[in-house]
Amino acid sequence: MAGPLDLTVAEAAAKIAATELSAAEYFESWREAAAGDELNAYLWTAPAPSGAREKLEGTLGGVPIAVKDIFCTEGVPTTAGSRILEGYLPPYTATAVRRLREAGGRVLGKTNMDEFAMGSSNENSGYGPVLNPWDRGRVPGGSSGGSAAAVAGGLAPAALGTDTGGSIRQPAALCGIVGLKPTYGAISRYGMIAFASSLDQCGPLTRDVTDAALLLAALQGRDPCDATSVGIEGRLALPSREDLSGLRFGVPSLAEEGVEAGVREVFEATLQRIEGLGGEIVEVQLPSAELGISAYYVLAPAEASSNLARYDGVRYGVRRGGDGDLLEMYETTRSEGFGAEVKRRIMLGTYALSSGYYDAYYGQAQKVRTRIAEDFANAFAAVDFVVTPTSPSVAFELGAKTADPLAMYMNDFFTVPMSLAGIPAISIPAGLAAPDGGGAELPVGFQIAAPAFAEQKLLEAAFALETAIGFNREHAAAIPWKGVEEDG
Amino acid sequence: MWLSFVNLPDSWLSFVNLCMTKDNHTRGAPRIRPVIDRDQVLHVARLARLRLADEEVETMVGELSGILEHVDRIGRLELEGVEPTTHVVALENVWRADEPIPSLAPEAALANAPEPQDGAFRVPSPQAE
Repeated sequence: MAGPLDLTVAEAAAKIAATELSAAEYFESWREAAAGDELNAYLWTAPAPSGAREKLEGTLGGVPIAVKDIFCTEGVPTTAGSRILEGYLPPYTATAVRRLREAGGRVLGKTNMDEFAMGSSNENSGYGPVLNPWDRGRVPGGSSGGSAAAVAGGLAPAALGTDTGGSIRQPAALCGIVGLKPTYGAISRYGMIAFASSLDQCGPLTRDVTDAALLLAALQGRDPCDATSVGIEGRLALPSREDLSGLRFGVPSLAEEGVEAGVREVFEATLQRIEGLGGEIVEVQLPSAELGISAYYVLAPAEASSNLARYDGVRYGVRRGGDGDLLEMYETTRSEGFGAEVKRRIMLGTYALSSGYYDAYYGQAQKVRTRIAEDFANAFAAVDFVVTPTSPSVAFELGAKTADPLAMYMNDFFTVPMSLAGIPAISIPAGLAAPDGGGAELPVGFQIAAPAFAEQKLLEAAFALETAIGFNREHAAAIPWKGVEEDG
Repeated sequence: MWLSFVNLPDSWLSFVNLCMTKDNHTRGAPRIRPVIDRDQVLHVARLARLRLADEEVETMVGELSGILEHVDRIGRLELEGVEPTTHVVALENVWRADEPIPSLAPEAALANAPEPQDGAFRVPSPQAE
């Protein structure tokens, strides 16, 4: 029998508003579920409520939300998955979290992540890897792996994540949930610990498309604290579309190698489902998109090397050394405080920006970025959406790719081009497939990308497709969060 | 079966190619050296205020060279006349009214400091012996 933890955010908020569900009891149930975390999904969970009156008005009235530990939360530890920020208590709260609270949402906990959001497996966390609730021997994806595992594993009804090159969409795909990266600028980045500022974007990880829309509606908008925040015109309505007639879906030419056979099968079946709903499948060319990884792994580390210069042991975070001079203190603090991947990217970015290399790397990468954005603009002149698999593979085994950074970066192959173009993209669970090496079936994500600020249209299409796929219904027996209450 | 998977158009290179880019840099004049050596790693580490252990330097030489070799694909593209993208959303200069608002109190700003002193951040001397 379905209990309160089986409800989506939209359902729970409606029941709380109708006083059919006690917000306090509902929060307490989730708090207990989160406290029983065996996936290392949380770095901090909310203590028992103090009894203070909580705001229940608003579209999220009373619903607990897990928040990636990259968002500053006043008085609540915030580490961005890094040992260098161990013990840091931010003096202010990120706009995204503030807006969730204003809509009635309550912070349930802070979720584990790859250090400073650099990673695609969550194995780069300074606080240990997160386990995939579908198979604890596998990664949940990253960098928002804790948020994805919490939602998929029945430890939170919904979560906030961030996506720089795929960090919401890829873990959502690997954990069988919905992940939405809105248009760059749709949601304020204020208080979101910076990785690559021209790419970083906040978004929801949820059980279904309706909840993603509900959270986006609460989150989006202009913020005076982030000059790059734009805000979307008009209110975002909850999606209700049932068919895809009149809509054209562009499929970029893809290579066969590298994409797992099972992922390919689910992708093809989903294309047929789109046609079944009246949508049209059209081949599109994105000639520069294959350069996305190369451009991204110049631009993102370059921005990161600058953003992470602030962790120097002076104003906040950990300080190491200091018996010597200032330079010795800086170097000891940073060498002991940062993990291997963060150091690698700082090195890469510093090199790419250093004298003599700037034009060859950074300048070229910015031009490739222009080309990729133009590719999408050309494609969207002919189609409404561009669709791809979200990730080339299902969830892989822990440790499988840690020795080869470049192989790890290839996880972002399908998600990075949208980030570089700044356009919105959503991953919805499209089916299950066995990994290439064999084994139990795991979730496969289907990515839909739309033109900038076309979130409403994107969510409508995703909703229609999600309803037709019926993932949460078809695979109920296998979905980890469905088992929560029985284990209770 | 889907058209796009059956044919292998040139537009999206195969993953095999992508993962294994071992172009020898003899065709066409390379504009940059695609690999980084030990001295360069140590130089960049100094710029980045990182101190690397000996074994870290070795690992970094190999890993960075591998990544740079891949990334070098864009270094050799002819992109003369293409405008670089610094920001994806077309924003004009963003103005706001010049109204004073409260800023972070000094105590709050210093609350996380490893070594606060007299309302300031204390650090080791830049010129210690």
